[in-house]
Amino acid sequence: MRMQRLYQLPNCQLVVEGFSDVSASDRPEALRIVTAVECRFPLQGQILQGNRDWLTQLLEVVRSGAQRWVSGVERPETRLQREQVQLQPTEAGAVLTSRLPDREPQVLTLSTVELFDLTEAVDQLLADPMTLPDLSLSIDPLPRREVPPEAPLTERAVAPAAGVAVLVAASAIFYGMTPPKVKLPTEHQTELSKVLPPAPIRDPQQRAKLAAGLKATLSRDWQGLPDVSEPLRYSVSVTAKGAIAGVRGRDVPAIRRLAETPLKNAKPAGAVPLADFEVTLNPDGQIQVQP
Amino acid sequence: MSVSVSESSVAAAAATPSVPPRLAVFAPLPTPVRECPRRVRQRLDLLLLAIECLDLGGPEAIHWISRELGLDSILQGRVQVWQLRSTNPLRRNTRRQPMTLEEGQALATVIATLAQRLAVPLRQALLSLQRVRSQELPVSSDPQLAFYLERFRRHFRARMNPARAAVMALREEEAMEAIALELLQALLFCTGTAGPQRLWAGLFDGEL
Repeated sequence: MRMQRLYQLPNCQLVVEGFSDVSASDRPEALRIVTAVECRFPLQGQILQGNRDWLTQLLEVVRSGAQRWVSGVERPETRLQREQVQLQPTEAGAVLTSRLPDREPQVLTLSTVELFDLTEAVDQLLADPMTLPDLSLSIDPLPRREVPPEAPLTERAVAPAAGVAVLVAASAIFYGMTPPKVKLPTEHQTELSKVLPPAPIRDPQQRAKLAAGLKATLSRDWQGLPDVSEPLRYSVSVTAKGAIAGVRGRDVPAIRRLAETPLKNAKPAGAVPLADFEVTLNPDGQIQVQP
Repeated sequence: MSVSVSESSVAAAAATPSVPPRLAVFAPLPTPVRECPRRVRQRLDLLLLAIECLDLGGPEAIHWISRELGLDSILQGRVQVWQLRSTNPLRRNTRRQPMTLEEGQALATVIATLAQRLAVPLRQALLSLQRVRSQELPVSSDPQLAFYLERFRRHFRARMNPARAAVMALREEEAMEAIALELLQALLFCTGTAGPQRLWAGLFDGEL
């Protein structure tokens, strides 16, 4: 039975004419034998015509082109160029070329919207179970190996080659240079030693002696305070001669009561080596000095 | 090799019962992958950005359309959608969490559905683009396109990390305009009979 299928979009109409195959076991009423295909672009006033092979190539090329527009990834020519139908993407759409044997080639410049309507007509045809039910085209990602390089190899090689050339030139220039003589600073070193704090006293024997001396000095004047029930804790710095050079209360009570303790007599000693100790003044008059 | 196959088949079997019917339209990828590669995450976020710039109600629509499509088991509210979009490596506050294939498919379905609803303004915008180009006028001479481009520029600069090379390349107004218009074209091709499948396959172009 002769039949016609029409896929109509605002800017593109795809018409397929043909016959059903009554011998087909599945869907005998479906259009399976194509006699003529027409693709009309009313805005252009143009009609492309072809046969079954032409239609298949149109479907493949349009599907591939549509995916390019949705992904923004270029396709190799093999995906967009067939013997009878070619699609050339442009900034504002694409150029569709139809080359049928013994006919003049037809070249149409399609806008994005026309191209979309053609795509939709193609999608509707492929989704229509009553037209060419045996024809199917899957929509798959473009394999990585088919993505065309963004620039030809010669252009891509320019940057690394230039880098190597600059490296070679720089090596040649710097090879002849003698390393600069470094003058070691002497005067400034002595100046610095006046400004920077000297190294702390680290010798364990000396520290133990200083700790014992500090404890003895403090013990003379510490019997505890009548209204203090918690230990008062201080960080104390002592010079090599045993003089108390600095005191820092470890908590608020310790800072408040400092003036009432034997530590109140601390005198800054200037830039001399110091030994730091943790001193605990207990309410019962006991003293602990931890190196 | 056999280990990875059995693992993926186990994962597929476990995931099958909870897959929303909307996602059944997507054919399995020719090469199985565990999660969406960075280009996929980037493209999904940029397409959603283009929708937001075309339609003032876009940000709201993204949420209610995912509920309407029965995708709220995957896109659980604004925070989750925001977190998924933040996996776009170009974002200022990019999140280093993976995006599963299901999450990617859900976002692709939302994009295709919203693009379909915006088909008329999309077509109008692209017809205007064709007209101003043929008259050799600046793109911003068309009010609708000027509105879209202005919003795109503002949102893009506010959200994307200017230290990224891909973002830096868009400092020139023309480059920014080109990507904004390219996304408009892409959105139109997400609509129609095979739009969602085309979008999903196209996201993986050159990735497998």
